[in-house]
Parts: sequence; structure tokens; C-alpha cells
Amino acid sequence: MSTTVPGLELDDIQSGVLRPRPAPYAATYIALRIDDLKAGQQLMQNVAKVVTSAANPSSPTADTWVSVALTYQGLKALGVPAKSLESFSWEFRQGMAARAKDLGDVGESSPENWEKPLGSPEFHVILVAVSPDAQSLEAALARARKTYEGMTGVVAIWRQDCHALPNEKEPFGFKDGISHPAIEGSGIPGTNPKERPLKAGEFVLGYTDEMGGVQKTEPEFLGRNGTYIVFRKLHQRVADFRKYLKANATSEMDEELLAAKMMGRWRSGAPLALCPLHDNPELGVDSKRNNDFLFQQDDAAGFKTPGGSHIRRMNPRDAEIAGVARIHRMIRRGTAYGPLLPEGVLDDDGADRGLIFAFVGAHLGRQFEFVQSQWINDGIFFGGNNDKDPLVGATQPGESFSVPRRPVRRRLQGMPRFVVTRGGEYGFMPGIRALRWLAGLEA
Amino acid sequence: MKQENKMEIKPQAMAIPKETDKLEKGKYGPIYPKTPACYGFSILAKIIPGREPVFYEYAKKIETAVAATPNYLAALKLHYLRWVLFPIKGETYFMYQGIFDTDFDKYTEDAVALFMGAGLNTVFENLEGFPKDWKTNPEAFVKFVREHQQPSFLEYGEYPFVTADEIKKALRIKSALSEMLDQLQ
Repeated sequence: MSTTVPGLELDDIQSGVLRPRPAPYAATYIALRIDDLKAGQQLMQNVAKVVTSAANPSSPTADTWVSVALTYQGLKALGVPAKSLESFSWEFRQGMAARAKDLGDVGESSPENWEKPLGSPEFHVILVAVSPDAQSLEAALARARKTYEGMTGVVAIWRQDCHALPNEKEPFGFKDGISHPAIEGSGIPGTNPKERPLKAGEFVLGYTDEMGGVQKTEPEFLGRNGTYIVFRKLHQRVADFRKYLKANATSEMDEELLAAKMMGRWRSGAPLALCPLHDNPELGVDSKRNNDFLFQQDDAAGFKTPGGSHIRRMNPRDAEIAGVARIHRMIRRGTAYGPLLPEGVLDDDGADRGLIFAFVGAHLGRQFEFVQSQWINDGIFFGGNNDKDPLVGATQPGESFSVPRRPVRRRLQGMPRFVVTRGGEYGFMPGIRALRWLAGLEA
Repeated sequence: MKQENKMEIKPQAMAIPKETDKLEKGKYGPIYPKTPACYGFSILAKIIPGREPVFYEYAKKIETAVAATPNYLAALKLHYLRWVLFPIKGETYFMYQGIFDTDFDKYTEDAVALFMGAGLNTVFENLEGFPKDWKTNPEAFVKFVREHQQPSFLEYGEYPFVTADEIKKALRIKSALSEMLDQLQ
């Protein structure tokens, strides 16, 4: 049961903010450039009518939504005054490309190699349409397109279509979209019954957060009920991943175990914490049980779920780590793009496939950037030296992955980099009243 | 780790230049590199006149708390903490210095959350300029800590870049090995 926090203004919060994405899903990302202030304001006015609110989370249409977010450059293009601009978070004002080094976006993942126009200053607005199927997505997209079509001062500059792969799996073949935090007052239950709901201020500006603070902007109503978002286009080297498993495992069963040790879950979604020796597909699809576990009491050393595995890095739960895990929690959503690499194929077919990663949270620095730099691309926090996330880390040549095992650990040497950043941006997703203010309608 | 897979442990020193223009800029200013003495902070501030006795009482309190709960500060990934009171022109100043394995720039908020949770904050209330509303204004607490942090200009490590976790593991291995040798008698 989630508790209701009096005063959480769900009718002003965009519906894409607090909920997990539907499963299955279809989604489209559209980027817009604002060339003219008046046109930009008109766009905001149109968008404010299309965006739905987070009220009525259990309504049958709640799973289809259009959301809008602005980059820092986008707020500037809308003529937001300097004093207001400065009141937004430092990381947001830099933009993702400027934060590349901290995020591990170096080498082939560095901004000069990004897909254009990702990371460029002309990226102003991002529209996201999400729905449970292609048909309702088309209806949502039609509403989204109407907000800018035919306008001379607003130009669509990029589009990415995403769709669920069979069995709700991401391109490497793991079940996706399992974990979602509980948020006080959202009316949407979290997936881990053992996690105390997080304060709304961790995800929405204008409310008390886990540290007792409240994120505010100037003027206050501009930020209130808004949130920061991150989206990243992540190319996945599926053939390389399969080849690596084959080359480093002793049998097909061992390949699956190795994959599970890297993820912290079997491909079915069943967590190693609950079934460490064999997969349990029924558990994998049971949303009441597949995220109901902690680490510290019976697996402090990571014999079941390695400290360096993906899910234990993304959410160490109650494990003993450096710092305080609760101030680094976030909403994450993945939507796959590109064709499925048919099962068993070990050679790359040259197709671009991967995931659009989306983050929602009130603290870009201590949530998204912290997790990226300290939990994904470093291992000191759990006592694991400098090893990175074996699946999504910015792995450098010569790095390894350790699997705790009795009597001796299993160490995977020469880990390749399986995920390459194709680009992304930081955005601010305003409350619905703030959208009208940005449209010049409300003072 | 720079020393990994090597039996030889070679001490290292690192000079940190005064000019910070070549350093990467972070949210709170220049980001200082990890040194052979790991990461750390040195927070220096003037105390509110007449408050010295509070610091000595506080010391006893922390001693008791750590004795009762040895893992009291484990989440800070510390090697050492040092608290010093010292005079400048008849006024008393406070220095709080920590050596640890995580980047203070990234972990400032964690440190503040832990100080608040562990009652380490109370001594800060006796420093001049400390925000009175720190309980509801963590940003002001973070800002105070950052504004009073002084970078080193030189750091030295006898066993450079080694983490506290590695040292503890090495000691446990030594102890287990010693026990094994005893059993072989």
C-alpha cells in the first residue's frame, strides 16, 4: 500500500513522471528546435493541452501518455530570464555533453562521436509518447505532432522509435523493467515491498526530499511539480556479448550462469538473490516476488549476487556500501530500439540496436551522475576496487569482473565494452501550470 | 589500482599546484585528484568563542558511540579522522581532517547525510557561520562544508592508493595464514 501525502499535486505533475512504463510498450522520442520565441510559446501552449497529469494513476488510459521536457538551451530559447535559469541545477545547466568525462562518455562514447544532433545546442525540446501498443502510440503521436506541425519557428530535428522486444526483454536478452521505487503520495506501489517509500522530493521539485531539503527554482512555481530527466541512446553490442559468454563459459548452462552473475538476475528476470543456483522462470515473471529481496543479511559478500553485478550496482539496497543508498535512488526506464539479433547469432549484422535509457529524479547530481560515476564506473563503493559494471560500464582494456565463489572467486579477465553511448541530454520536465507560464499565459 | 599484483610497495608523494585552471571544474569548484594518500578533506573554521568545552564533551561522546557500535562510521570508507583545536591570535580554530577512499566531491551529500544521522553535526553548530537551519537545509550544510574545505598542496602515501578495505582484507589474510601455520605444528 502506498501512503498518500497531502499536498502532492498530482493534477499538475506530468503523468510520465511517477509511473513505470507500461509493459509491453511502444514509445517515440521527438526532438524539436525552437527558432522563434513566439512559436516556442505557442508550442508550450499546445503541449500543455496534450500532456496528461499524474492524477488517476489507475485509470485505463493512464498507460498512454505524452510528456514534454526542455533542455537548458530550450529554456533559454523560450526567453526564461537569467535569474530563473541560474536557479536550475548545476548539472542541468552544463548539459550532458559537457559532463561526458564524469559520465564515462569517453573514447568511442565521447560527444564528438555522438549521433547528430544529440548533444548539440539546437536540441531544445523533447517530446515523448509512450503507450502499451503501437495502435495507441499512433494516437498519442498524432496528438504530439499536432503541437508543432505547420509551425515555421519550431523544427523537428530528431526522432527515435522504440518498441518492446518479445517477452519484454532488452537486446541482451534479459527481462527488463522490473524495478520501480515506491514514492510517497504517488498512488503507485513500488516493486520491492522491503523498500520504504521514498520522499516525493526525491522525484518532484517543491517537496521535501530524503535529506530534509526542498528543491526550488526562481520563481518557485516554475520548478514546482517538475522534475529532471535524462535520456541516453545506448548502443548494445549483442553479438560481442554472446561471443564473450561462449568464450568464457564451460557449457551452455555455464553461459547462462555467467550472464546471470553479470546482471544479478537470470534472463527470465528471476533474481540470483532468491534462486542462486538455477533459473526459475515462474519467479522471473511474478512481479509480486521478483523484486522482493535484500542483500546484507544472507549475502553480504556477494556469493549469490556479486557486488559488481548490474542490479546490485544500480540499487545496492541494504548492502554495506560507501555513503547512503537512499539518496541515490532514481526512476529508470528502458525502451529498446532496433531489430532483435536472432537467437544463436554470434556475428554482428551491423544493425544499430540498443536501449533508450530514461532517468527521472529531482537530483541530477546525487542521483543520475553519482550512480553513473560511482556505482557503474567504479567499484570502491562496495569494496571492489576500480572494476566497472560488466554490462553497461565504460570498461577500459584490461579490466576484469569478479564473481565471488567458494573456495576461490571466478575472475573474468579482458572484459570488453558492451554498451556505447550514442548521445543524450538532460531535460527539465515542468509541471503543467509551469508549461502555461512558459507559454506566456500565466504570470 | 596502481599497486595491484605487485609485492613491492613503493611510497609516493604528489605536489598539488596552487593554480587550479588545469583541473576539471565541478559543481563546487576545481576537482582535486586522488593522491597517494587517497581522498580526503580538511575543514577549517573558527569556533564560536567560549565553546571549547563542548568540543571535549563531544570527543567523549564519539568515543563512546564508536565503542558501542564499531561500524558507526563504516559508510564513510575512512582511513582516519582527526579533530584539532588550535589558536590563531588568541582565537580558537577547528580543523576536521579525514582520509578516505571515496571522492569527497562526489560524496559530500552522503557525508552530510551520515553526519546528520550519526549526530556528528552537533559539533558543527559551534562553528561560526554554520547555518542554523541545517536540519531542513542540507544544501546550506553542504555549502558550509565546501566553503571551509582547504585543499592540500602536498600529500604522501607510504602505501599509496591502497584502500581501507584492501588493508583490512590483508590483515585478515595474515591472521588466517598465521592460524593455519599454527594448526600445522
